[in-house]
Amino acid sequence: MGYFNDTAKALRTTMVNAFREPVTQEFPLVIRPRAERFRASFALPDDEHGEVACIGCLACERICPSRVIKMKSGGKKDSPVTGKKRAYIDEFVLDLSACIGCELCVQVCNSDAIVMVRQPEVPAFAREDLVLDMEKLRANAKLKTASWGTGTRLQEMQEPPKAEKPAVAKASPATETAPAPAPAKETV
Amino acid sequence: MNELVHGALYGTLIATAILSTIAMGIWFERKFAGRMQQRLGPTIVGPAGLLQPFADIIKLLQKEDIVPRDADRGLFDLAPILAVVCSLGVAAVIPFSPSIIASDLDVGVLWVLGIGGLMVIPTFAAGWGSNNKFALLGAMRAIAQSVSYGVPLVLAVLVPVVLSGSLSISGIVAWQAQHHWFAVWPIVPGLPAFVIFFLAMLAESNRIPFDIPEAESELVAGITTEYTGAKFTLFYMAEYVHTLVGSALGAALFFGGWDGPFAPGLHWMVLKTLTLFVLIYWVRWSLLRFRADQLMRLCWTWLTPIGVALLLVSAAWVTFGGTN
Amino acid sequence: MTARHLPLVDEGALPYEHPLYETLLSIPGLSVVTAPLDALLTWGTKNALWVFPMATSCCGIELMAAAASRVDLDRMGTIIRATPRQGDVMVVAGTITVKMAPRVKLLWDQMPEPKWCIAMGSCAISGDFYRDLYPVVPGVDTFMPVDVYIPGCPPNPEALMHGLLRLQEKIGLRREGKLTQAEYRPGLLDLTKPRVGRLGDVTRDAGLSDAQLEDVSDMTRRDLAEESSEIVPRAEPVREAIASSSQEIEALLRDDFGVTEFPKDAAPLVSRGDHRRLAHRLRALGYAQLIYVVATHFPAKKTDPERFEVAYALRSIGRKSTVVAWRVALAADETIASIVGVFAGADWQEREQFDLVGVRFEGHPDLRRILLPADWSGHPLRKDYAADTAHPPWR
Repeated sequence: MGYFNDTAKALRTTMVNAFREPVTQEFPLVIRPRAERFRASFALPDDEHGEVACIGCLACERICPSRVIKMKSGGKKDSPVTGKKRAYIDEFVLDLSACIGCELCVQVCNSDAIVMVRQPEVPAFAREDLVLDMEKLRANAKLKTASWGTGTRLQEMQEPPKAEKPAVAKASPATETAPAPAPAKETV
Repeated sequence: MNELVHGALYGTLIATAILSTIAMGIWFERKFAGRMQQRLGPTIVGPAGLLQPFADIIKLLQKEDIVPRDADRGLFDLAPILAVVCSLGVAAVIPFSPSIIASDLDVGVLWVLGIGGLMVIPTFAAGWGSNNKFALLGAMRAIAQSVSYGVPLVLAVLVPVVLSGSLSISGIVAWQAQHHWFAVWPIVPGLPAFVIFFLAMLAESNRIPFDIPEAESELVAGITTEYTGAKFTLFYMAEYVHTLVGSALGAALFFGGWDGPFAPGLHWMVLKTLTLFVLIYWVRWSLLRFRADQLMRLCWTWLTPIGVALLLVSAAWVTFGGTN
Repeated sequence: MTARHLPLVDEGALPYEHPLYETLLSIPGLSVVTAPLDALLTWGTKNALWVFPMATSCCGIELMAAAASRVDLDRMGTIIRATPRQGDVMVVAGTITVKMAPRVKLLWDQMPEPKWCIAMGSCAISGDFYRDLYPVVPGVDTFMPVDVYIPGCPPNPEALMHGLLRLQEKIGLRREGKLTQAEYRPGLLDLTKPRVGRLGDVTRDAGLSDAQLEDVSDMTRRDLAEESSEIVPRAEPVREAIASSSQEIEALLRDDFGVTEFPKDAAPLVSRGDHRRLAHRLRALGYAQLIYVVATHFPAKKTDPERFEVAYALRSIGRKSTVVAWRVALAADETIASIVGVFAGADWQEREQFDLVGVRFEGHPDLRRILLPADWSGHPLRKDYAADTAHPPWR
């Protein structure tokens, strides 16, 4: 008898579901809301003076478990904006095809110079297209929405709770522009 | 001669109608299944996804036709064609209205059971011809299932035959039009006989919950494991044709076929057939697959004895004059 | 025993062309007919991409989620078929190991043309951070053509759908003759240079030859036949009282097996000859469950020669999980007696140790590789084994 009851129950359940509102979010048209720390790709944002924030300290290159980051330091120069001496990078390459999205590179960055963005890269026809070079990473910083995590925030989060210590707050342009609406294309 | 022309004309018409219904049936099934799982089903291809079955067929016809190296070429090629022929053949004796019938055989019920039973041959031809262990296992399961469920199917079909005293399906429908639908009165052999018929038909057409011959988690895709492109399309169609024709048969045998008030007979027949068709999909997307032993137990310890009892009851009904 | 290598590419295969093809093309005005027909065929192909899932790890879960209600791949006519014969797109979702790669290739070859491949996630694209390791293929495009790469670790279901939409785009482009071929670059394998630090340039053990393996299994079958009377049946009642305290075990080891040292931080060392007898004895005492067999390789140092240690542990289920462990030290060329006759569970564990460390278990009924392909050479868990050893043709 249990069989008959269960059968009737199953038939009832499916029929009830058939008249409910479908939960499908029609992907290319509708973008599903994502968690605050959702992240998919990378960007190299500018610092507060409008220069590239990365100083080529190699911290991210060293910590990356997949070893996908390669950079070439440009040495110290006088900044054309502030006039002070600071370090620059000549090249920065991130191979997204082997990235695991662990965000360690963001976490170790003391100058908040690398962040992850919420919009994924477009699926590529060739493996090389997934290698993000400096140009693409800079473009990402302008076009895409930064994820929650920055070096400062992540490091703060990891520190043991000390009430008296003030947070080392650094203004990050990437996070200030975070609530900006995402471009409709390539958005998830 | 006149009969031949009539048969050819109406046969072609009915077959065409069935095959075009199938395309919409595929679309409907995917939509309906989607809604049951709170999905949308096809939406992108054509308005409301209506063109989806056509895209599927166009794609399938373009695919490479692979024949496994050690396959039995003749059987491998013949099986899908036979499958469609056998499942469409049943439709020949089903009256869709008092006049729309391809061939009004006096022994229509025998034809239905015979041709329907022949489905075993393409099934095993496909399983054997593929030279693939999953296909062969699937074919063996399918045959064990078809042969077993043939018995309750025959017993259930015999109930209307005994009650109406006719072996012709149009005769049975005419009798019902004159008196009562068998699913309604006499309710005791009638309605349970329909339930047995329905279950046996599901099993014969290898539909969930009786689809162990193509259980994906165990047998890859059962008998169609090695079939690609056009040949797979034929199997795919045969399955739907089998289901649709089975629904039409159920409507004719138990629900009075074209009999109904206010509208022409064809409307009623189509309405009843499609209702049963939807019912089959409802069952298909709601239930789980039986295990092989459960399947056999259901057949031999429940359906067959009950079928025999129903046959006796209907014989008694006729004998002791409960007919009208 | 030797694995059959599947050819990577069919060298002689050319795109098939019907003899009438050229003649047909030369008919004037034909394109008026063929262009709409071709558009129709392309439309059909693009809109009914049936997926053959090649899911080996976590990306497979996202693949399943993509077919479920929230994203619903069925909207674009994509359903998942279990047989390669009816699939159009192979979605490789997950790490492909050297042992899996021939199977992936085989399944790919079983799919009918026209077919496409999507590499989903970092592992399928490039091998991810396992790409330098000995068992992992650095990207599926090294042994089969890939059409679309979906980045992510794993990509979310929407990204998979995005990939399928991109594939539709690519099918259209290819039909128009704008984009020619899928990515297929076995040349990438040549770029796999040693990148992982290694201990030293010690010549690696080439493993056992087939003849040696035959020899070993013959020997074991014979031995087992002789020793079968020794095998303790599973249901036999415990004859002696279970030695529950470690003092009792120590006493047993000291008195009967001549063990003198009982280090605090390690299991006692038992001599190679006594080891099997000890297993018997402990089993009879009620230690009925084999927990582990672990072999460790110690490479040669300035003073010490190369050696192995095999550690065993047993548990008594009846006595609140009392555990007994012991070690056996082996020189580089020594073998150890198998305890499969005593504990049936040792079978696969000893095979694993043979496979990965290269310790030979004498008396094992079936000493073959278990995790790595049969044609592997070397034992990866030896300290002198380079982690990025190549294994042609797959990596």
